[in-house]
Amino acid sequence: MVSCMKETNEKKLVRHFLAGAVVFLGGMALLVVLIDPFFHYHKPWFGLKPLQTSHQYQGYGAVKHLEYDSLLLGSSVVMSINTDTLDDRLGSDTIKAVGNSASAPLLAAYLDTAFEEHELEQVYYGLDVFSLYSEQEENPFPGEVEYMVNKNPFDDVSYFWNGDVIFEKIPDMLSVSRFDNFTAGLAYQINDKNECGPEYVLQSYNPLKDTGEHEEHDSLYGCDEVEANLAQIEAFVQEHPDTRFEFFLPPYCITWWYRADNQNLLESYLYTLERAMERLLPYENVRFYITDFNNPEIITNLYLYQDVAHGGTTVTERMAMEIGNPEYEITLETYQKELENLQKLLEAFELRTETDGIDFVYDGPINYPE
Amino acid sequence: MLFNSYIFIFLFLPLALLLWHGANHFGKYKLAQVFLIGMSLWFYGYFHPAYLLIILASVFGNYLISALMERFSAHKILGVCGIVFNLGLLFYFKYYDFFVENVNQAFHLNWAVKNIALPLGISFFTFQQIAFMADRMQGKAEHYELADYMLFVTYFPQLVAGPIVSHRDLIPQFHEKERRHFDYGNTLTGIRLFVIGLGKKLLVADELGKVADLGFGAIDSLDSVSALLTMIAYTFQIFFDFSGYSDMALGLGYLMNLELPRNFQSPYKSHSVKEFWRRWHMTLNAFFTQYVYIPLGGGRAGKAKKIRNTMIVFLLSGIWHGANWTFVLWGVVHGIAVSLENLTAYEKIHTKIGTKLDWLFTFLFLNLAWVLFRSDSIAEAGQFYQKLFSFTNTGHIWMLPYSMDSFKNYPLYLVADHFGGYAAARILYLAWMLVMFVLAAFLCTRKSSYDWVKEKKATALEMWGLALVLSLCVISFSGMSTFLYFNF
Repeated sequence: MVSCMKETNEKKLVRHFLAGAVVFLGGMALLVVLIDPFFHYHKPWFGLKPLQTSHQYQGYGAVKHLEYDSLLLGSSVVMSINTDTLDDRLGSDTIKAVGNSASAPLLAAYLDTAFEEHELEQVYYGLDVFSLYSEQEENPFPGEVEYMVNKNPFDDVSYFWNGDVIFEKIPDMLSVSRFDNFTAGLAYQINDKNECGPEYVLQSYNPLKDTGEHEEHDSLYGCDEVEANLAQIEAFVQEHPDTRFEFFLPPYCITWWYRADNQNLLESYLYTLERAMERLLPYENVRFYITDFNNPEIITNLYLYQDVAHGGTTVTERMAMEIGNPEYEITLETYQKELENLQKLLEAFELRTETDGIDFVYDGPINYPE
Repeated sequence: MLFNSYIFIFLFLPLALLLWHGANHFGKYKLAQVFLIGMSLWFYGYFHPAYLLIILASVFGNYLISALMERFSAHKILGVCGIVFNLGLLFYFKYYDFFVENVNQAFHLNWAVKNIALPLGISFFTFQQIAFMADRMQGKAEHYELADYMLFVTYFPQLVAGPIVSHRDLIPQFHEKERRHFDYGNTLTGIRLFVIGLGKKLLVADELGKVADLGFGAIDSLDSVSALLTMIAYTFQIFFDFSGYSDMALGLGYLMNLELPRNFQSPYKSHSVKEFWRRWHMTLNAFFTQYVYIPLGGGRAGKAKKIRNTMIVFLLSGIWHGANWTFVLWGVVHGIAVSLENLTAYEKIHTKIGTKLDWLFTFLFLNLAWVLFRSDSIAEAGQFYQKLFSFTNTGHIWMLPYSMDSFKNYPLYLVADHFGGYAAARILYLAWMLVMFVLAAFLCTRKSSYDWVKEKKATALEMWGLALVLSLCVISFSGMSTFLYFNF
């Protein structure tokens, strides 16, 4: 009798535990599914605003489920572009689909998804020269979080039972929607406080260390991958004649070009850019914008950059103002001249540094080429 | 497969329990055992399928030798062969590269290093089988049925990080009929132990582990204060990590009505290093006592021999933990400490200094010794001690909590940042870290989880609390970490 009562009590306690687990875990899953900060299942409900502060998660879900008519594609150098600026100027309704060092195949996968679900008016495509060297892989989302992009519903447990999503992303989304300091356009900063200056740039670029021995590359280095990626982009342009493709060249800091030069990649990069323009410019629905890509006042001013490649607010705000601006448009007639200008700039500019044999100290001001 | 993974909690464990209890319910005891072996092999092979070949070779090798012992009378020779076989396997996978590197260095040779990946838990399942082989040799163990022996070695709760189970403790339980019936009392105990262990690992050890990792990852930046906190963080991390795993293993055992031996009994409450070793990794110490210390003569043949035997045991214990001189030295310093405590002169001092000071000295010693255990090399440990005793304070303490920037304190951070900006957030981070230290210290000085579960009757509120702990642990899985003792 006593043993039977004991078992009944133990049974009850086990049931309490199971009920608690169902309530807590079920509640957490329900919360994530309803708020869905990465738009994995649906667009924002309950009047919440879509926040785009985590590119790794948001690319695919946002492209699939948000409402928009234009898409901004690119790597980390375009992440900080404020899409509101673009939309105010160009009358579009844009979302971003970006990735760290985003490869051309990844951006193509975003485009595929976007065209499946939406009629696109414009595609703003930040053409990163390095992205064209990526191999076409079976997995269209290399480096992305697997469970967010595949079709397996079981691995979604990693999303709806995820501490970062519940305690970080959902509060962020709720607080942004509640307090109305909506910053969807400022999706991402390389460093939290948007700090710029030589000290930050030179943290990630050391001319002494970056001049190690590198493989020799001629101008045709990687040309198979480049041509394959360009063909893929061209296919989108051809298949969607009603969509305007606005390509632009993000302005990397001069140090980025130095590194490319030190790695013997400069010649190949310039040739690739030439090929990209040669292949894409002839299309009616393509526009190409140089932005500040070869503007010495911008790209040699280390005070405007957050690291070796990424511009701060000034650079990205200017970029947002220059995309779609006829003043910055390049054509079949002008593109070679623009590339020559960049080359001349690289040859003329010298980053002055003092070295102690091991490390170096940046010693401004910057010399501008005459 | 990790205990702290979605697949284990939501697929593997329910399936294992269903198959085990389901087959037992219908009286299919052998089938239940086969299911459990199959599940255990899946559990082990999930880490790396190739590991299965190693564990199966080990199990069948030992079983074959045991069968030969049954057939032939040359027990001693066969037993020695069995032990050599086990030690050989362990040496090859765990110590070969270390041995070659040291030989190369000592004799200026250039033997090739094989970069052998260490199969998880090899030290644990090898030691269980060495004990079995030694007992077989002495006629203290019978030749078991293959299914019994396989389940004894591969039983998943204890497979990769112990406790080191004796065949005498586990195999007879397979044949106790009452253990084949579902038991709510044991299920309740199992749930309580498992969830407490999971919480110890994910909510305490992993948090403090981030502080330890940051400190040990950049020793150059440390000052005395941050070095001290780094050291204590690791002391707590290793306890909550390993004892958390042991609690989970025991809990899983109870869920299947199979009791595993306990491995911890509040070790940081010890008042001497000797006492610490009676409370820390108890099954490893039982192994060394039974199969090394006592056969060497134990403490019966005078003080000198007692010290010699103690040093041998601790040297082996150090080597067992890993192929690195840091572990060897860690074992040696513990051996020296225990030997000193065995001296009569020390006993007198020991009783004079009082209980609280005893505890403090012991805890300090353990902390300092863990530095050796955690460091990648003796030089690194030396550098750490240098920082620790430099008596400097550069303010590096403010950097340590940033390693703990996890979801657990994010909402608080949002509030602090909103009201007080960066300065308030900084203070909050530091406070959060110190709260974790205090919590860890508090938990360490309470009853061990095993004693607590055994002595305290569960309540409905506690079960809801444990369900919440489980849920918080589950949402930590997305950034899951392995257990420190997997590599030993």
